[in-house]
Amino acid sequence: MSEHSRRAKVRFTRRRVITAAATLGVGAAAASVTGLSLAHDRRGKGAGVGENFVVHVRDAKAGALDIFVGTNRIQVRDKDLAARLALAANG
Amino acid sequence: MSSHREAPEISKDPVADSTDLYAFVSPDKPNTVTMIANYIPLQSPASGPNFFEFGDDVLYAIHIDNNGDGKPEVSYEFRFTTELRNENTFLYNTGPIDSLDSPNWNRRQFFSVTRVDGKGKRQVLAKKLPCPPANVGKLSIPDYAKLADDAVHKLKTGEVVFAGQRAEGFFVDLGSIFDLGTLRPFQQLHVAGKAVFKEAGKAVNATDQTNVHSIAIQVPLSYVRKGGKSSYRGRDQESVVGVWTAASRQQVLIRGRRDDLDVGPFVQVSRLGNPLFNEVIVPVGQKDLWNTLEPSEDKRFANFVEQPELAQLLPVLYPGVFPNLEAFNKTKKARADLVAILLTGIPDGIIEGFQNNTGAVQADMLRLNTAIPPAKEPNKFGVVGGDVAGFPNGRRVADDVVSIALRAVAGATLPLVDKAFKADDAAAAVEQGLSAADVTAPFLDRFPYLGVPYDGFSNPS
Repeated sequence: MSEHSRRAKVRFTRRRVITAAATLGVGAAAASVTGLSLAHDRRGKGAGVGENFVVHVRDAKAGALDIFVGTNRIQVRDKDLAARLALAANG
Repeated sequence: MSSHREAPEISKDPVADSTDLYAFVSPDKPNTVTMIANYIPLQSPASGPNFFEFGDDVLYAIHIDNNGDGKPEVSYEFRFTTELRNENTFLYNTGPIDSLDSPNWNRRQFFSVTRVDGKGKRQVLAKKLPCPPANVGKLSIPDYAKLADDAVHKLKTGEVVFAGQRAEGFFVDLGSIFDLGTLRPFQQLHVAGKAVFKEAGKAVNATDQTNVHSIAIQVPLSYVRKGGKSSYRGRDQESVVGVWTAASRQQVLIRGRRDDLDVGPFVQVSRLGNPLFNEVIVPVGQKDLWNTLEPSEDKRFANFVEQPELAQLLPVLYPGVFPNLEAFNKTKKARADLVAILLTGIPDGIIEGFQNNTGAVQADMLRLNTAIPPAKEPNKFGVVGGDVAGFPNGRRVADDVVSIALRAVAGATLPLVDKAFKADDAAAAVEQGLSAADVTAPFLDRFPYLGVPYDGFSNPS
């Protein structure tokens, strides 16, 4: 099992997380998606099959997204993707 | 307290809340250094059915800087996993626990140790080392001391490690100090207390008979020193290391109905170097920020060390007791003594035969001159009491860090760097009125040094 998938597995405990917003400038809102193609923007290997990842649209207008996978945060800039996610978020 | 619940956000996350950090040349093995990082504050021993344990979702670390840049050259990381033998009982244990693999012990915890060098190279030193259980009570665990001894692990690489519950060794009169800065031995002199108290009071150890969770590691001196030398002279700057502990969580949590998902990079949520730094020096509006930063960032907090709020308060709280400190405060001069003690270490030439300076980078680290041998007769006031093997040269388990900090802030150390300043008589006398004798569980004379945790059957009593 890779380091990424090991860290990303669901955990035994249920506990509150305090996000270090001051350090990394992460806001409160996050969009969770499954099965979304990130091929044109991803760096490195990307998420493994069946691996959970979380997408945070930081600035939909600018197309600024963060993808949280394993123990990594991947920054993506894609206005079209952000617009489609924003549309999906509106139901 | 030293760092128990010292910032608003971490006070809501006790599993990741660092409470105390100790670093000292081991008195029984002076060729090694012992570092102990405590987490999970103020545990009531009677806490069933879900007893205290480390967080499986927390990355715990002890960092060592040996080149003065406020960044780690050596880190030891600790991760925990919890295993449940039987999901169909509400019990922590179903009978007496007489060994670390007892079938009667239902919810067990294990840990791994990873060493990381300054370039990020990782070496897993051990996996699935058993922690001892929480001290449930004398019927559940008839011989806790032996069980805890069995949980001291000597690694093939030379380190000795322990992770588990211990008796709280930090002593503090918390109730009085945070009641308008009252010190019971001097309560009759307090600005508000003099209307209430006619004489001195006896201090109360507010943390007595509580437990903590300790991560302790003992390593050869050469493992942490710059250049890996086994021998240095006390005046060699290379003999000094800076130590701090940190806890981190993954940045994203998605709560599930049954399971949670943790994902993303680890971000720091708790930090501790010198006791009381974030608690007393950093203002409340920046405490949470401070917890997210590395010591190399601490220059931004230097003004709170140069002009500490507590130094301003002492003459107000105790009118007429600190006239010289009050006069110095009015000059607005920076407290160079406190900057040296907390942010750079004390340079050579200030205190005869002693230095623990790491250079110009201002960083809150517990600085230890590893070439200073353990004291034969330790003084609880450490360097302020003439014992250079104690705080702020590292920190031993029995050092009275509250009183040392009080004396330093009150001006006792200011003449070291400002010959024109004469400390008030009270600066050398002020103390909280407690000592290691006020800790019910005795300290051990061997690793992991903190006492056997209080058991839930007998405490509270």
